[in-house]
Parts: sequence; C-alpha cells; structure tokens
Amino acid sequence: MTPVATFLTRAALLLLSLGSLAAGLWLVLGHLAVRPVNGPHVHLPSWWPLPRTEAGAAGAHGWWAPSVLTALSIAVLLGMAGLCALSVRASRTHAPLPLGGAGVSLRSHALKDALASQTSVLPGVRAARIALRPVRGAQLVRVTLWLEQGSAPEGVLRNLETGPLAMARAALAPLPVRAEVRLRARRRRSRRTR
Amino acid sequence: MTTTPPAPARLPAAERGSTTVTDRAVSRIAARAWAEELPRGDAALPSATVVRTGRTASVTLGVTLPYAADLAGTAERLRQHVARTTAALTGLTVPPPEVRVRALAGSGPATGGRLGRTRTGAGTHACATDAPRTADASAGPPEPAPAPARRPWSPRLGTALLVLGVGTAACAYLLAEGVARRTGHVLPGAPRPDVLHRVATTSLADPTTLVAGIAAVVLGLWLLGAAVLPGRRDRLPMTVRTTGTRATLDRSAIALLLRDEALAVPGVTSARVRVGRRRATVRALAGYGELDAVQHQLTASTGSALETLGVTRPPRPRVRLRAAPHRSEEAGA
Repeated sequence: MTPVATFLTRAALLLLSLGSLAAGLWLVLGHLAVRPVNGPHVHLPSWWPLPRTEAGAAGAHGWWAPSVLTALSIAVLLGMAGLCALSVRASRTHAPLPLGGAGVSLRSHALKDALASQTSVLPGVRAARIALRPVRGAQLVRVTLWLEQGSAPEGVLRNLETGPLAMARAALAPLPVRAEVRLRARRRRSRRTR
Repeated sequence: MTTTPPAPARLPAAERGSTTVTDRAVSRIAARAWAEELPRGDAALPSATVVRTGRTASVTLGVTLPYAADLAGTAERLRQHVARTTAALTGLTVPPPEVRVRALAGSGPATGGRLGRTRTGAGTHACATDAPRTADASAGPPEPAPAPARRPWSPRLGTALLVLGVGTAACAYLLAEGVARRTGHVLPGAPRPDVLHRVATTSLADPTTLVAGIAAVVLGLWLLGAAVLPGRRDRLPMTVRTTGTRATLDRSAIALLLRDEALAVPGVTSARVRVGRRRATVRALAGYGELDAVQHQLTASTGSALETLGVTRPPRPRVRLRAAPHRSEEAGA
C-alpha cells in the first residue's frame, strides 16, 4: 500500500469510529438520563439533543422513513464505490512502468521476474516474493523473504540491498525505487529429538 | 527501396511509377535495426508492428532488454537508432518507435551480495564484510551512518475491507427491507416488525438502548485504535544502509533463530522462546553438562544472536535454564 492509501483508509476508519462513538455515547447517556428504574442517573444539560417525546416515537413523524432510506442508499453507494476503488487499486499492480520519457514502457512482470530470480538465489534465502506498486514519482518494490534455517537476517538484508535492490535502482534510474522488505521464517519441525 | 533506376529517356513524372515499401518490410527493418545495436547474446528479434498514415510509419516494438543499469537511456538510444535507420532505408518519415519492454534478459545473480553469512556453531559468527560494489555507481554510495529505522505503519487494508464489506451488506439489507415494507411487501425471512420500525419506536428508556449504545462505543473504540495505532506489532524494524529502503524482521523469525541457537548449545535438550517487542525470553532445559557452564554459554550465544539480527532495537534477552526433570532426580539421589 502506498502512503496515500494508508492515510485514506485510516482517515475513513477515524471518521467511522468518531461517528460510532458519538452515537453510542448519545444512546448510553440518553438512556441513563431517562431510565425509570433506580440506579445511576445523569443530568443532561438543556441543549442536549433528546427526542421530544419520552417514547421516542420517531416512527410517528413522516420524515423518519424517507430520510433513513436516503441515508442508507447513500451509504450503500459509498460502500460499493469504496469496494470498487480497492479492487481497482489491486489491479494497478500490473500496469506497465513508464521508463524515462514518453514512448518507452516496461512490463511490470519483467521487472518482477528479474528481481525475484536474483533475490531467491541469495545465500540464506529459502523463497522470495516480489510485489510492485507504482507510487507518485517512484516505484515501490515490496520484497518478502523467507529465511533459511541458520541464516543471519542482517547479512541477508545487506546482500539484498547491495545486490538486487541496488541493481533495480540502477536499472530504473532516474525513477527512484522505494523498497519495503519483510524477512520471515517458516515454521518447521524441531531438528533435534528429545 | 527508393533507388532511382537509370532512366536513359526522361519520362514525364506521372508515367515514371512509384516504389512502395510494404508494412511488413518496414517492420522487419525496424526489428533488425533494434537487434543490431544490442550485444550478440541479447539479439533476439523484437516483434514489430507498423501503422502507416501517408508517408509516416509509426512503429511499435515489443522487445527484450538486457537487465543492466540505465534501462531508460538504453531504450532511448535504441529508439533513436531505429528511427534513423528505418527512415534512411525506407525513405519514409519514421518517428521514434513506441517501445514496450516485455522481458529483461540475463537477470542472473546480481552483482555483489555473494558473501552470505551462515551460522556454523554456537556462539561463533563469521563477520560479514560489505560486498564490493561494482557497476552500480548510479545508485549512489551507501550511507556510512545507518538510517534511523521508522516503524512502517500498517495500511489497515484488512480492517477497511471488513468494515466496508459488512457495513455495505448491512446497509443494503436494511434498505431492501425498508423499501419492501413501504411498498407493501415483506422480504422472505425478515423479522416483523422490521428492524427500522423497531429502531424508530424503541424508547430511550428501553434497556436495549443501553446495550446498543455500549456496543457502538466498543465498536468505535476498536475503529479508533485501528485508525491511530501503527499496527504491525508482529515485526521489528531493521537498520538499513540505503535511502528509500525499509526493512522489518518478523518476531516469529527471531524466535525460531533464537531457538536454533539455544538448541545448538551443548547440554540444552529443549528450548522454548518467546519474543516480545522489548524482551526475548528463552526457557531451556539442560539434559547434561554442568548447569552453570551451560547457562553461561546459553546466555552468551543468545546475546550474540540478538546482536546480529540487524534489528534497530534488539529485544533484551532473558534466559531461564532448568535442569531436565530426570536429571534433577539423579542429582538429588
């Protein structure tokens, strides 16, 4: 994911969370203010928005159903637009990369294959997965490596930086390459019996 | 080709005829022109298509480039060569062709990076020297001081997808139910009275209001945490030497490495490792050997293993060694 996409998803989650918190607090405080049974009561200020009737019979008002249905339609449309945007983003990984000026483009699979074949033969690496994503003014390369047993992560990372990543940077220059590397280890059985 | 034949008698221009170069010839000329500029090993003929408008031939090439530094410069140089050569040989106007690089050839082992490090035994680590850098001068020299590692934030894609999917589905259901009710229908399997009606008629004093409110607050807190916390607690940032690179190491990978280290210490028969974000705990059983000596060696090997992880802030080690049960019985007897 790009920083912009991360910001957008997090901003959307923040808005939703604030809305949910506000609605929840309104319900809880309103209930505590009007509840008939004994127990903790709260005194709400006069400006607090409470339903006019004690029964909260909003259903009696003519505006309730149409406005709720309108809000639901908007929510459905927005949700589907969001899902479409996410799937479009996912498909953009296969877009060709522009090389230099106009007129030259590089198939993203070509770069992916080249990087993958160089990375998976590094010493101490069991498997490698490469994902490419265009970001604004740069190329984002995400590398996931599964380490072999007994290989030192620091050395593997140095080799990756000075080898495949340096070569990709040189090849794609002047387009800057940003790399996100994740080193993992696969679970395996104990090599020593007890 | 537009060579003028030797004409002894001058004919009027309209009767001289004209030479046409077929599109196929143009495309083959363009492909040859591309291949002749590449080294022999990479001289696979590209595919070429030609679209002609008047006396202008637009060429599109699908090529394989050798994977080397400055792909853009190489492609640009070859484009200009193809345009010049094709124009000279056909007499047409040929703008620089559109080039689509379909594959990168010769992406064998990268330069440098052949000095891997493997652990040979307990506590002994070969020291890695930075591999000599060749040919990649344009990538800039590696920074002498390691860049400070920032923890990469999770994009929260899974959370966003979950919220979006569930929320959209729920809204769509309520919408369908409400519309059906207002048009005098009932959705199959829908509760009666329907959800919207119940929401509208439930009073604030009803206990369900309290339950719903608490649920909304909990959901809001969870979403708030997802929005503002960095996430990705399962990885630790590593120190990198090149700008524009970020690296993380999974905590589970650290646990496996530490476990291997512990089991390589003579005397240790089993080990359990938990790696937190600040502390790594190794709990081991000693099956044989002097307990103090094994503890000393285990502590040393764990400490040195943590230092070679390349993690910016390595977790502090904590080593607990116990004698295996059968052994303590022997010692007690």
